[in-house]
Amino acid sequence: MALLEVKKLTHNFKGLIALNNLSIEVRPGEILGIIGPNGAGKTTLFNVITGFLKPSAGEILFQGEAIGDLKPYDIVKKGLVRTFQGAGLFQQLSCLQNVVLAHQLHKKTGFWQTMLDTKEYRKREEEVYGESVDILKGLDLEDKKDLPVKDIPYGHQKMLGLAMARATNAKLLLLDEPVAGMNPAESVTIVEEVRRLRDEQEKTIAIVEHNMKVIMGVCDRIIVLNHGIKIAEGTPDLVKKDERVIEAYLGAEEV
Amino acid sequence: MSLWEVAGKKPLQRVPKMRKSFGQKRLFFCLGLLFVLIILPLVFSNPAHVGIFILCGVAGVLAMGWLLILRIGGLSLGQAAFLGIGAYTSALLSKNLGLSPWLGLLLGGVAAGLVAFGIGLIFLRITGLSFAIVTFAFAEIVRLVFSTVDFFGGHGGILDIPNLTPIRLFGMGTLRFHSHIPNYYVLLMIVLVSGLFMWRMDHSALGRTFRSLPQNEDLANSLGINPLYYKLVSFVTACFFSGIAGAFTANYYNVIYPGSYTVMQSIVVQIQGTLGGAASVAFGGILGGSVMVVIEALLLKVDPRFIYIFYGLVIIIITFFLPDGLLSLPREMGKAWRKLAHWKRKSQVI
Repeated sequence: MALLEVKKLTHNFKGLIALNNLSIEVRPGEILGIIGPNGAGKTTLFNVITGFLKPSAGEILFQGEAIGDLKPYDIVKKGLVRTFQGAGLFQQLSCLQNVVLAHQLHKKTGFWQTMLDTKEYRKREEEVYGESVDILKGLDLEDKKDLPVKDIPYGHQKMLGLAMARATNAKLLLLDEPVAGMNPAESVTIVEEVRRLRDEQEKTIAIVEHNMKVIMGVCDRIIVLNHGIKIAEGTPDLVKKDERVIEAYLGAEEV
Repeated sequence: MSLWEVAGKKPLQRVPKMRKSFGQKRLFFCLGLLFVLIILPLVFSNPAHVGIFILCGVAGVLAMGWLLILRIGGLSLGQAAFLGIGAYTSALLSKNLGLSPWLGLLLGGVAAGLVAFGIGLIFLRITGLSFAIVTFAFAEIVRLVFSTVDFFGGHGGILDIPNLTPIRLFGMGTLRFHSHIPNYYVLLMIVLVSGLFMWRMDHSALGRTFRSLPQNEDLANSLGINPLYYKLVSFVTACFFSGIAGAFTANYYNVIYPGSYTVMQSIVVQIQGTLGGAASVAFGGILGGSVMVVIEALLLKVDPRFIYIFYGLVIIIITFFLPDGLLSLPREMGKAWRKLAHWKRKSQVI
């Protein structure tokens, strides 16, 4: 059974049809690439799936459950998380604070426990801080943990964003242009991390990207969108050769 | 923002020795401050002075609430309205229904909190300038309701509000609240409880979550944080305590009138909060409120019109020289000192 199913999804922006009767599925354990020219509807698709936009028509099913009406903070609780284009972090807060906030999902202490600083609350805080420092150690950012996020290199910021998404323990990660603005070396680190997430942690990943090298290299399957419609779907090799795709997109792209 | 402002909790890796000594210094400072606040009216027992201390306390609670709302990215221009809601609630309940003013204190807070919850559900979905405008409008509406609806006494307000009822102390006689000093201690309790509560909230995981919202609400959403919930917690808490402070003023001054709860008053709350400094909700609020009230009191003696010039000057000076408020004064002075030393050295070399 597909992990995520999008059925006949349509989204209108007051007359501009961003998603047009789109049906897509994401299979468990795969790394799916979603590509298309600018304005094809890729980010809109992510926004609708993750609850930031409401679909005008169609269904969204995650693990068989309809999530089309849910708010983003409820959807991530079901096991579906996304990252954002650009830096997308809490810029003024420290790296440590950022990662700690990513653990909010698993918060188990209630209002009064927090206010009264109970043992349970303190224990939980220590755990969260401990895990967060470990995550930062893994990213080689431990020495920068108290620096505001805006002061660390962009590449590190993107890795941090990815780590925070992972901290939510979601099964499906939707990554929005994870290597945009990175040099080849940095892209490689991100790609390795994506592979590791799938191979070692059994996550399913869908990536929206413009970097063809990365997409062709890491994805099992690719879906191509244009004007809100799926124009091609298949393995990287198939998609590379598809006429419609080349016409719409790849012809102008450097591979 | 400095690390202390940002860290809701010190990271585990800090050297324990350093942590303990700083914590101890802070504790001693707070105890010292508490001692000073307790003996203050005994040293300066002139009723006029005690009256000013009380005004400082009320302003402090409002400013603290304002800063707490700022944490979630809300610029509230309506805090005076909640002072008024608390005041009118206690006034009406204690005068017309004969309810104990002590209960009125609590219910004033509850009323303000409930109203905050109600309008928060709608208003807290927007932030920034729009939020400021709607709170501004709300404050005006509240004032108009108080001054035109007969039930609230109209323009003349409400008179003859009873004082806080006497409490019988175990074996030591009765404590009456007809004079300034006993009321000061009641207000001190209110300030301490509000301050402690809001300080605790700001420094806990709640405060941490508050701070994330104005920075990237979309990210917060995608991490499982329900922004409206946290905004409501902050807003309702701030208004609850502002309501209690308002209820206190009703039973202390025995008179309330709608002209006290103007938008100008709300703006003054903002100035006080900004003057104090957003680094610490509790200390910034009290500091900003007290400093403004004291200077205002001095200026009033000279010429009441100076007040508006004073407000303007405060805004200008803070904006250009001390954007993080008085709490950042030590830090900024240190910076200025080092800059001066650097220039002196440079000029000597030449």
